[in-house]
Amino acid sequence: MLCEKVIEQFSAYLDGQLTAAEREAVRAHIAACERCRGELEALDRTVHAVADLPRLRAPSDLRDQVMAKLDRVAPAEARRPRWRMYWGAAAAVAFAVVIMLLTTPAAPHRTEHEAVAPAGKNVPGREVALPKRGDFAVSKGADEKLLRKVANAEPTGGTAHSLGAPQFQATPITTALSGQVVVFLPVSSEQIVLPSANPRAAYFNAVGVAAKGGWLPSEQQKRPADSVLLNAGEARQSAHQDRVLQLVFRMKRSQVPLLKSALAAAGLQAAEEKGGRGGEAQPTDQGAPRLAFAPARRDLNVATNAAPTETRLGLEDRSATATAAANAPVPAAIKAPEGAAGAEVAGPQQPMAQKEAQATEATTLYQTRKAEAAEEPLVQVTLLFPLAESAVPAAPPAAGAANSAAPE
Amino acid sequence: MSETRADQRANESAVKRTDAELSVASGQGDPAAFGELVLRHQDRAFNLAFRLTGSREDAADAVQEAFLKAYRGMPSFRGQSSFYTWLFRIVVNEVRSRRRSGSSRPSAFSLDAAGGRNAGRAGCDPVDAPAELRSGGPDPSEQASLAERRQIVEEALQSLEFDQRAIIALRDIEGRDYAEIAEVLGCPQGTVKSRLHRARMALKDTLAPKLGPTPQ
Repeated sequence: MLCEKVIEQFSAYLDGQLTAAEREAVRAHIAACERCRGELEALDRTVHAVADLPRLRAPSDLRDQVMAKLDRVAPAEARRPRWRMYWGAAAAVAFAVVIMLLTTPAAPHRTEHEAVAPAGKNVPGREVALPKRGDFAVSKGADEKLLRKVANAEPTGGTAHSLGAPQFQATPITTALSGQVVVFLPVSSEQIVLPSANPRAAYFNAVGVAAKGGWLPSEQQKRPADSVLLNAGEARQSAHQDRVLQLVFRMKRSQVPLLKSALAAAGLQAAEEKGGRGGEAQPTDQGAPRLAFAPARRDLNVATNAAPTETRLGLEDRSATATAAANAPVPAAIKAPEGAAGAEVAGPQQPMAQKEAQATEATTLYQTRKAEAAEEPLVQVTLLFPLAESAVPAAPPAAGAANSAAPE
Repeated sequence: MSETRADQRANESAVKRTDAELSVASGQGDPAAFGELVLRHQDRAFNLAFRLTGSREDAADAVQEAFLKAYRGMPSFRGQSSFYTWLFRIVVNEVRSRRRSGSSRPSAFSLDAAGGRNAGRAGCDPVDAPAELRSGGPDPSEQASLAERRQIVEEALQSLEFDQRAIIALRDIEGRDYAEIAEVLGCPQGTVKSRLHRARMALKDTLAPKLGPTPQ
């Protein structure tokens, strides 16, 4: 081997980064080549000389100085109430959806109201699990065996966060489930405090699992038509990904109205939008809290060959919208890299009117499609919650720098 | 799990929370949680910044600013990497941008730590001094030699390009593995490998004539 080629590997050699074969090749070479042996020794000495430099401790007042300035940069404080609110809304919706899906097949003739109402009152299985790769969260009272059963996963020993209401509490649990986050959402949405500041949670590709009187048996998860397993979708690498809670799941098309009423029950007004392409639900306009309802994908229409629906529902949080209108005009926050606090200043007024118009149109479209969909194809529903993006109008320079420091 | 066990766990976690948990809490605006993170990581962050800047003052400024940026950016911290890795990335970027903007002193080194000469001066923790200077250790003649050698190494390190210095500091001072370094520097592992090698070779070329063979 040429000396230069060998020398190129010295650094990795010293770090133990070579394969066995490469290592042997290096050893064989330096055994025979005195010059290269000298090079390796010099490099080794250099590495050790650097490693021997003393470790310094931070100035004793560094922490105090940092803490003294924290309130000036306060990242999440202004945002927190909003986050809470949306997470709460998201949780309520997810829960309502799950319960709805569970109750509807058993009682097909229930009115929408009846189908939704029992969710908060009578159904014991109140937890909704939202798995996501990474660590996982669990509420107080959750049974580890059940967790494993529901998630159908092997224990790996990760960490866990309790999301038990009313306050977020970190609770370590010795055995974590494999690569999943499971969040149990209490029924009462006001009490939910999700780890909103954890951006990973913001693109929670959620799975909801619940059942009447307990937990959804795993075999039931295999039945797509009745499934309440909300399949995780890949988080898109978009500017929105940190700001959007995404719940992806499938449901019978005929259940969509129930979903809408569930959303309404959760305090979210359904404003519908037309358009969108297969499954690509996107946060629509700026800022305003919204749920987008993605059209079904063809491949998910297991029962028929019916074309995917083209309906997208934008669901507006009424109260937040009102607030947003009061505070308009505001910069489009979703695009702001370092977003800020809450939707108090989100949501321009103009798009709202458009959405109302679109809502009517979409409803009509939806009803037409529904009539056609005699065989109950599944639709893939994507609920997107733009999470309080826009409150900090213009990110100060420092914020931008911090952002740039984050992994791309 | 019973309520009691859950409570127990909550109590235990209050005693010693993981970085991930503290990050979540910090992002929700809990300064105490962030204060704990600062406490845990300030020394390593400062040490890294010092190796990058060669100046205690600049290092302290940069680390302070890095922590503030971390706090502000906590909501965008995705938890994909450890808080530590993320923080280091911010520190490196902070130092780099300060150098560009000229807000720090020219990268001429202040060698107050290298020789332990000014260790313990106002504002700095007395334990900054090399361990050998604090208690026992080598005899005085060896001390002098050690201090000199460290000064030489420090100067050589500072004479490298910033990126080379950064990668050496992360690997040989902080002891991070290639994957972590790749995360901190935002480059592929293969790049880490080749860049680290070039940096070490450059340092070796500078040091070899000055240091000579390692004592014993």
